[in-house]
Amino acid sequence: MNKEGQRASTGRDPVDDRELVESARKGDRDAFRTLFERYHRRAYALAFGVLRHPDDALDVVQDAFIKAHKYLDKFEGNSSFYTWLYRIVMNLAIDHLRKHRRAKPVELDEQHLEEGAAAGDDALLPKFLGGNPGRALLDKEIRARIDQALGELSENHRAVLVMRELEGMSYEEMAQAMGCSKGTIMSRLFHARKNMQKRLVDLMEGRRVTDDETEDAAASGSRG
Amino acid sequence: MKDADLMSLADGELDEREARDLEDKLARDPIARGKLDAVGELGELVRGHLELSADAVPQKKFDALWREIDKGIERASAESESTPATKNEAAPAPAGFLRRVGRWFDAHRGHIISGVVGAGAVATLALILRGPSGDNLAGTKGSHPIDTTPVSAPAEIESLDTPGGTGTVFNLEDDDGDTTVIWVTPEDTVEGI
Repeated sequence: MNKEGQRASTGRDPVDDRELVESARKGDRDAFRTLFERYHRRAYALAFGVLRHPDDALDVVQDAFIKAHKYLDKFEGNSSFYTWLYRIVMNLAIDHLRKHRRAKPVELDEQHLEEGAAAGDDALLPKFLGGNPGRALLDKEIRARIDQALGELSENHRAVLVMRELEGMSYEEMAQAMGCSKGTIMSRLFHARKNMQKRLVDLMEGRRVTDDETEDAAASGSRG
Repeated sequence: MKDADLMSLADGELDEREARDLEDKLARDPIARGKLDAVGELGELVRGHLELSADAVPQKKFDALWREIDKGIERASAESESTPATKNEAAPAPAGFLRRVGRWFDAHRGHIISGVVGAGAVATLALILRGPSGDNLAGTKGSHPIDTTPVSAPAEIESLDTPGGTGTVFNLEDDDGDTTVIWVTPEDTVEGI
């Protein structure tokens, strides 16, 4: 990920976000541009994760920054600038989904999900990657499968998964953003994860076999 | 141990005591521990994938995006200054397709000059080919009133051959209506330069 966002969160920036916000409020466009430079890729990743369409994601990021600038006076500084910004991005992305909702299969699982998850429905998989997601992400095929699996989730399931995994939003925050109960958020998240695991696990197992075979081949080669 | 509880633990949604109790159980339950780890791994995959996807977007796209944002801020400021306090809601930025076309133009500034030159040539050609019929329409008097109905039919020409380039005619549809665009690409234009 672009390092601007990370840089900002480490507190090593010569100019703090709050100072930039203060300057931007006074009309300093360069200060606002610096905020844009710090967070545009994170904001884009969030919008893209939810919308899955690069142009739609750019539209949402554009609107979000314009809106953020317009309402800078209302930013009280209780949270970080990015926390405030991502809520704007998320709200716009969810609005966009509502306005452009395409026909999607009914999420039958949501109706019994809470009971299923709460009643100990052993749906989550105990083994997955063998503890090396960083290595897996180097594999183009695995990334393509992740992309495909995300695309196959329903919009609601994908939205909660992205909010949770990318931004670490709490169930309560997600419930507010999506206008539903915490229980529904839990249900969506549970099924999103279960469905992602189901779609990816065969690939991961295949990859492990391949790795093992490679290691075996290397070992036998060194023996011979 | 319920999967839902494991998920809540992974997401930091349990209080301290609940989390401690569950951790104690996890120490004796390798399968449940595996599930918890798997939830974390999936999260890293999703996060990593989206971050890498964002990193793959060329910087020039974001530069073009900033220019659009800058214009949007300018527009919003101008409108809030000129509008009475009771109606200080800024008009929305031009939405959708035209905006994307604008961003595309911004990201491909290198092509604009040659495109404009080419489009100028085509416009000149169109004026010449139009000939006297345009004059006739403007000069019509008497029993045939001028038809002022806006022309909304799509362009009949879809492509043009121009000296040293290729022309394309297309319609942009937006909330504001249709706009016919004549775009000429000189033959020596190379994408990305």
